[in-house]
Amino acid sequence: MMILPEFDLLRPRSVDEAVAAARRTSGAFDYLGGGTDLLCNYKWGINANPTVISLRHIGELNERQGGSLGGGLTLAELEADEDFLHDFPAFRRTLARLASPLIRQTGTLAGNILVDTRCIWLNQSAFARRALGNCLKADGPECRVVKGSTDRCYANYSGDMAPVFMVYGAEIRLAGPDGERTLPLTEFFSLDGRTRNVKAPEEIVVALDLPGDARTLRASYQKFRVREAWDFPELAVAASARMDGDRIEELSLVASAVASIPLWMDEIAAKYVGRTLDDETIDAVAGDMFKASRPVRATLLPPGYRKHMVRVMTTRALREIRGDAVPVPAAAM
Amino acid sequence: MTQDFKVVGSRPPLVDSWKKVTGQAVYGDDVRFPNTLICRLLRSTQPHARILRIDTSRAAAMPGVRAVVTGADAPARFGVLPISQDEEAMATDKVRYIGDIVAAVAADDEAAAAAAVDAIEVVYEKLPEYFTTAEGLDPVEEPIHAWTVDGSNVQKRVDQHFGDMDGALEQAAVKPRAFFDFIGVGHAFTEPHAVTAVPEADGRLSLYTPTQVPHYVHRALAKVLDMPLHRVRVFRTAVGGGFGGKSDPFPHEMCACLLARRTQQPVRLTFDLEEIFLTNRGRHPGTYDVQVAFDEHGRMLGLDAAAIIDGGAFASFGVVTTYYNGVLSQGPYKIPNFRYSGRRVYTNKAPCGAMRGHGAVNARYAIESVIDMAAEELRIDPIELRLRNVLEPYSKTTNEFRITSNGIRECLERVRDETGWQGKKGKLPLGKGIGVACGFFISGSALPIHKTRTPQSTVHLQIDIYGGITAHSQGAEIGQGSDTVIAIAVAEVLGVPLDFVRVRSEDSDTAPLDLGAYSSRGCFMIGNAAREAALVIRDKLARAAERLTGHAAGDFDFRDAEVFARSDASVRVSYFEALTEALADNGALIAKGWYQSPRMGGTFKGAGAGLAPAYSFSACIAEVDVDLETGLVKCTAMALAHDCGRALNRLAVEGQIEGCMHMGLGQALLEEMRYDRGRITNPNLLDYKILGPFETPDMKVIIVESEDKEGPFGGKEAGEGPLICVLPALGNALYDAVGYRSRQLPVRPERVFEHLRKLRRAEAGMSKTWGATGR
Amino acid sequence: MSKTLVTLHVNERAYEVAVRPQDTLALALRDGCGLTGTKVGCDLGTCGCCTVLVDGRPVLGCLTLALEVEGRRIETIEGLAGAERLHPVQKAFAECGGSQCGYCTPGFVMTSVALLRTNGAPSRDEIKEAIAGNLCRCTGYAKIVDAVEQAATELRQAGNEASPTTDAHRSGGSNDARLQGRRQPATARR
Repeated sequence: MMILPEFDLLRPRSVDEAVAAARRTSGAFDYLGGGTDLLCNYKWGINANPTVISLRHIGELNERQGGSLGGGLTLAELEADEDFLHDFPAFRRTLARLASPLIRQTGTLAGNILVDTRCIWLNQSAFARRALGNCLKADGPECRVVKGSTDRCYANYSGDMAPVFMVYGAEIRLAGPDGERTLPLTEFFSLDGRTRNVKAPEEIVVALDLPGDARTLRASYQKFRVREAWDFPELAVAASARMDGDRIEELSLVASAVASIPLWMDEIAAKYVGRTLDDETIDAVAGDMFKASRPVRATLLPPGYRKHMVRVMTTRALREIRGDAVPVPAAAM
Repeated sequence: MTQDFKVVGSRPPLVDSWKKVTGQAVYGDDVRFPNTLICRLLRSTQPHARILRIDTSRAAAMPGVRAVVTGADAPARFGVLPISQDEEAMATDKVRYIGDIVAAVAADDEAAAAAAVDAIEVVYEKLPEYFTTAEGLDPVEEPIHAWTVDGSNVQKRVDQHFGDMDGALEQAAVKPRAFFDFIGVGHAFTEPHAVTAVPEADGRLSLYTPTQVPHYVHRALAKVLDMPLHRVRVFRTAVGGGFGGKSDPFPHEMCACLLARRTQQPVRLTFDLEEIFLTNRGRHPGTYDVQVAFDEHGRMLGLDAAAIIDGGAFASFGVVTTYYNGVLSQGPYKIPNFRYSGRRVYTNKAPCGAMRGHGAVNARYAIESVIDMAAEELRIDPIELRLRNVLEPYSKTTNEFRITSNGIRECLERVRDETGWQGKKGKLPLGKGIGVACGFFISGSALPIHKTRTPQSTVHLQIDIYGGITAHSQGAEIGQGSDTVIAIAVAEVLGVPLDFVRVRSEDSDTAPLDLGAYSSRGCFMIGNAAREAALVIRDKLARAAERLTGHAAGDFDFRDAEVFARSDASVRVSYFEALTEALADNGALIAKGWYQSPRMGGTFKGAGAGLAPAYSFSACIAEVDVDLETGLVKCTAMALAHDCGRALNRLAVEGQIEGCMHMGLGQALLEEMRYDRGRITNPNLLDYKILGPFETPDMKVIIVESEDKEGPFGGKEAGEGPLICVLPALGNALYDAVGYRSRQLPVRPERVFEHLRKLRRAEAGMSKTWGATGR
Repeated sequence: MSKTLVTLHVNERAYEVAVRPQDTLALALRDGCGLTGTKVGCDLGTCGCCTVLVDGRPVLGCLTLALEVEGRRIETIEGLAGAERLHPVQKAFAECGGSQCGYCTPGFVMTSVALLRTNGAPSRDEIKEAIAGNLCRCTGYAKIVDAVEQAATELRQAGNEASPTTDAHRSGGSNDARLQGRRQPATARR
């Protein structure tokens, strides 16, 4: 049986209480949501802290109102919310193919947004990391994926929810020592496999807010992996568009799981506003996405192949938005 | 025996399944004794290094630590095969792979044990590291073991030649040849190894372990602990999956016992899942260079094969594997000329061993692939080509295997007819394909590992005054249903319901010898032993019935807990009346039955390898759907016909065949033990990818019953053989779908994708220009 | 860290167990309550062997801290059988060959029980969706799906289509074992 390191477990009842508790630890703590990510890392001895603050007993994190979703909601709760899935249909398949049904039972929305970056060199036991050679993110001093990198980690972003929220134009609401702040999810991530985002350590993801007009967007999430269940994405593409007939009025694109954060491809998207969503446009967008993605060898499949798959997944996302039938994973509704 | 069976051929739940569905089954880590210490192991982080110094003093002095042992405490070597005893409880002079055990700690709890392991200091001197077979074929600077061939890392060489292979190649109309490369795969059972060693008050030592081979563990323990065999006891717990991965005596079993003896407290050791992968004994990676010769009529003239298999750091079953890679290619086709060269090479990686379909799986993939290549060249339908070459029942192979019952023809015909092959082969659109392959496997190794005249299986029966029948056996129930085979055999012969029979197969103190669950020997050997024992009891009951009725004993039949005369239905006594009479002035009704393989085989070197009292046969058809944009391959349907002689338990046979399809497809599509310079990089079940319910296709099971004359009620194995044809059927279907012949396993989507890109650029474009097989 | 005495409500019995903050539910059940029917396989949330029900929902025992479920309603494989017989799901796993080596069985059974409480007549695809977090190395899943189908039929025939809802459980509803053979009102949710 794997051993969890010793830690103190705090179970605050409110966000304020949790933030205050976090401040008292001088940074040596982790928030615990569903635990499906954090506890694996702890069992592997990756960056464990002496204090764990559970957010599972804070009612205000489980609130849900229209397009405003509490960070503490479990993925299974979202999956069972027919109103939510009706309004934002791209989440249906995303959720059905996210990790496994058991992980979704306890895994939370905020947990998936914040899911730690992953890497074949990182997600190993302490014994294995010693044998493999330590990696920058866990034990230092050098990245194993990009040899010689001592300041940047190249572990892969592996969350499925964030790309979809991004193309729906969501904002993320954070609560911290200085109160609440809200920012577009597209500005939340920050390119480094260790720090990953702009959230201060004590800040808590209170909610994801979907704008009202997101309901009229057409969106698609295309996740590439080798098994229908369990697997993190080897790469994924999220796209959304507001269409005027077959003319693109708005376009959003995210290439995910090809870098340490989901990549917001606003420059590519901007090029195609006003264009007709025909095969030629789809090929051009897919080609741009292909060129802009530079995966590294941090996952199972080789980076060159994953880069090609960005093209294929982009094509499928745009075709689905156009209303074409696209290959859908077996039995994934 | 009449063919009108009562229990045989029915679909009873496995007799041990009730314990499993209620959580009552006791697996390795469920064993609980008071005052138990917890053991953890220090493993080498070096692939190949001399141990200069081990300092355990700091660890031994830590709070809660009760004992620390190292290799010096038990230097005797052991191994599952007497001819290759190259393992140690813990490394003595040097470590040979990352994961090799260096020291073991017993402490009051898991955390204390883990802390102590971290506190052990080992000073290594690095040695040259060998990660490929290629670098070990010739003499090397520092052979991994001292007894290799001529200072190389070659552990075992096999060279066989029957007939005139060069002549066959000269005569051949077609002779496709191909080179294949297989990545290693692991058993990936869900129950991590977990043992408890208990020092008994009378000085004996008991080991509770989820093992497939209690007898070999018993022998190895006695040797390493330097204790007489009768002072050791092996208790097989419920086994949470074996597939060959729990069929070696293991170093960690020795460690737990050493610590228990040292501390005089029970010691429990449970692996982290990662340690399963470090312990390995999975299927050998390796290369297979194969050429097959056919004449213009599609008659097979010969097979020429060379295998180089990567053994990892220790021998395990490797000598057998080296033979099996060649000799198990002798069926299911008649091959007049045959040449085989096999090499097993040590490398500084986790040791490989036996895994479901031992030694026959990768070789079969290669052979069935080149047979398909030949079919294409000859423009003969692949099933027709195979049918022209199958061995006949009750015949002999070129290397003198005695073929008994053989349903291969029916297997092929039925998968063909029940999948609509004719309407699909060569007629499916690009991206969709169908493929066929055959399999052949031993139904129990005829040669025991230890040369002895002790029967390979013995079963004891005793009937109590309440009518219940206790069967004692050391047959290792690992979920395959061997306990149920015993119960079925006894219930069938004695005409009682299945629940009259209890099987006790855990404890070496009460079990008569059985060699365990490997080489698919259980059904045939244990089944026969149980049947023999039951016949002895039946005879006694019949004579008791004769005393009660005056009717001749030989005329009695047994059914529905009644003993009745075949010639006169009015003459009958109940089972209980017969039993009471049989027990009168007697005291106990006990019997034994045993099985030993008949003498067979040739006299040439290595003639014993692959001999079996019977062989199983199978044929598989796979259908695939290739995503033309991504290269991802999905198996959409699979039909598998398996000749198991007779299905003693149809439910279990179906389950074994379905499990084989699942596991075989896993290796074909996704599974691989990934290494980076001797380091396993995916030792967990997220990254080692077992198929889930969505990757498992619709599975059609076809049971073919050739009724083996020597098998119990006609039965043969069904646990391993069906896996073998799965991989090549998938490979051949993939070729039919997109024209890509995967010469590596697993099939990698990126390689299929590259092939599809080439196809797109080619002149013919995205259309099928291959696989037209002259129909 | 020192141990805390907590009360775990398992199978309608209160267990006083001393646990450390880092102890998982699986560990507390096995070592603290002596309920070794819950298995630990991969220990990282992939295999599902450790699945137990918490307030009626299937939860991974290896990734749930014991302290986090203090006071919640926990069900394990040991609590299913009752009323002098097995739970229909247990019976079906044995009868349909859904259990071979059996190590994954407790987890599959618990996941299936949870499914059938919310969906009394699942399709084969719905069953696959529900069990896709449990890993089986022996069966190829076909007979597991058979077993869940058979159990669903048996439960329906016993008048249990109206599988007790999660909410009913929260408010102290009785478990399936006690419901066997009794008619229940049709209040299935969703």
